[in-house]
Amino acid sequence: MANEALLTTEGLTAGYGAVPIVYGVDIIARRCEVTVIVGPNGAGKSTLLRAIVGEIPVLAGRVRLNGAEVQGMPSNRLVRLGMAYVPQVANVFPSLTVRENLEMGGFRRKSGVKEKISEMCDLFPDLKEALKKTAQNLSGGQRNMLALARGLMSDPTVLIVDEPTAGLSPRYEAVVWDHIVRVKETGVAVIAVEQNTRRALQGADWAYVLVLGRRRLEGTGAELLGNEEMVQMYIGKRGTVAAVANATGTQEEADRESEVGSKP
Amino acid sequence: MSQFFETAGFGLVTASIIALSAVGLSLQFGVSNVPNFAHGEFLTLAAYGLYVGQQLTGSLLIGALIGVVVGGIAAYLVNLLVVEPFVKKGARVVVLLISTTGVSLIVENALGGFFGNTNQIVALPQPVAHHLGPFIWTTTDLLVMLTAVVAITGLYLVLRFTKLGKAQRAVADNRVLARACGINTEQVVAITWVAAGVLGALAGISLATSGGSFGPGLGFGFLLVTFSAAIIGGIGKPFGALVGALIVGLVTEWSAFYVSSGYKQVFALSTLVLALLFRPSGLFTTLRGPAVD
Repeated sequence: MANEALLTTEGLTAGYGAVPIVYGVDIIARRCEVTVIVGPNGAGKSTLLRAIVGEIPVLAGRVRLNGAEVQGMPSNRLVRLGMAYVPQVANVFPSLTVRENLEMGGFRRKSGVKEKISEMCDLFPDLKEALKKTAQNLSGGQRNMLALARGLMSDPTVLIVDEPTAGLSPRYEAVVWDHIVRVKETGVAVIAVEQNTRRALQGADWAYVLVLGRRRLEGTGAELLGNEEMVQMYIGKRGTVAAVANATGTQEEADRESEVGSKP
Repeated sequence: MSQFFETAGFGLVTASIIALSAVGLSLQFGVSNVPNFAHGEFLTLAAYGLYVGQQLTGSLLIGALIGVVVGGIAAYLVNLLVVEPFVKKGARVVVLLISTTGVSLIVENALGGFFGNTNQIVALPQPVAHHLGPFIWTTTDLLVMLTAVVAITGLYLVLRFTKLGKAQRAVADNRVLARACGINTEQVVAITWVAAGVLGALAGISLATSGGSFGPGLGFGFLLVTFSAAIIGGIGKPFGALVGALIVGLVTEWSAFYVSSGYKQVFALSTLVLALLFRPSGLFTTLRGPAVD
């Protein structure tokens, strides 16, 4: 069923240790849609994703994946339930070859690994030539492609991607987003966190604006892009943590998120 | 010159034993990122397993098999009961270092208390010398070298070509990402500890049969050369440890012949210091840091 909700969070509060970074966040990710989460630096975007995928503790609220409650479940078990996660940094295994990276992405598959690798090479043609190369010898763009392909190897219903274009040239940004849109067309619900807000909203079917760990706005990508005041305030060039903190919260909150959120 | 090669022959036997121990240590460190100072006890426990097995059955082979099982189980238990609980609580490396040293002391003293501090004798067949080119080896020497070659080749094939081996390398590279791929990282780490225990056990059995007798300090005394070889090769790089073992094995035997056997450990450590002066991260590491190769 197209557009059915595959992943939802209800009142999700999470952080590092007992200190919350995101507070009571509700989001919905639907099949065949790209849902993006944008916001200024230190808004808690990556923290939200890490809580959803079980890498940091959920302090309150629920995460539902394909209808099942999964908050607090370790990420290796979430893979079995249809979730794939592509972290922002260290998103490939550097000493493994491209083929081995893809095999690890399909670790839970009972069969069809070779066929799936071939499918990924069709979707990401750059990888076909590089199958025998170790991942540490790939360019930044190729690594991000490999990271996306690795995430798709398990046939996920929900693909969670943290800053897929971080550090890439504008040309590669466009290529990566083109691939993300193609992935959603295969029936996957894609959730992406992005710093390049304009680019992300262009590719988004639905977007949430996160500020100081709280959901402030939501709408279609086009709606948010058309809201000039919102762009200037939250996601434009002037949408720094300090500016937003002055408008909506305290500097201490912003500092804390910036500091903790930047830890590996 | 012939003595040089004969000594090199002994060096290759010593290198084989060091390699079994150092490759296991380095593999376990690469995958779990935990420095294990109780590694020597896997050697000691396996030697006692061999001794007890031989006493009970009269068979050296059955004794060796029991020794291997004992080494594997000991490594599994050290990880399960000591290391994992500390890791889960976020203990720092120094805590793990002290706790594994504590395990080593407990095991050594417990064995001394139970079996006594005198050396135990392993009953061996009459040694037969084989002249192979410039080298002279006994049957035991040849078996020790064959064991090392088979075990380390087997490990290479597992790491390179099996799903488990690739998962071990993936966990060594990035444990968080490995989990995100659906890999049960705790299970992979536990299996790696068992593999390290088995390799250590083979080293302990080789050491006991080469020397003919051993005491509770067997493994702890061997820990220094094991660490030297592992660090020279680049700790966390099991096949670097193989080359480290070769260097340490040859240097110690040549030093024993040309200088004095009392200086073996001095030369092993000097080799380590010299190697680290030129390659501080070991011979086979890159700037990217440790990884199982």
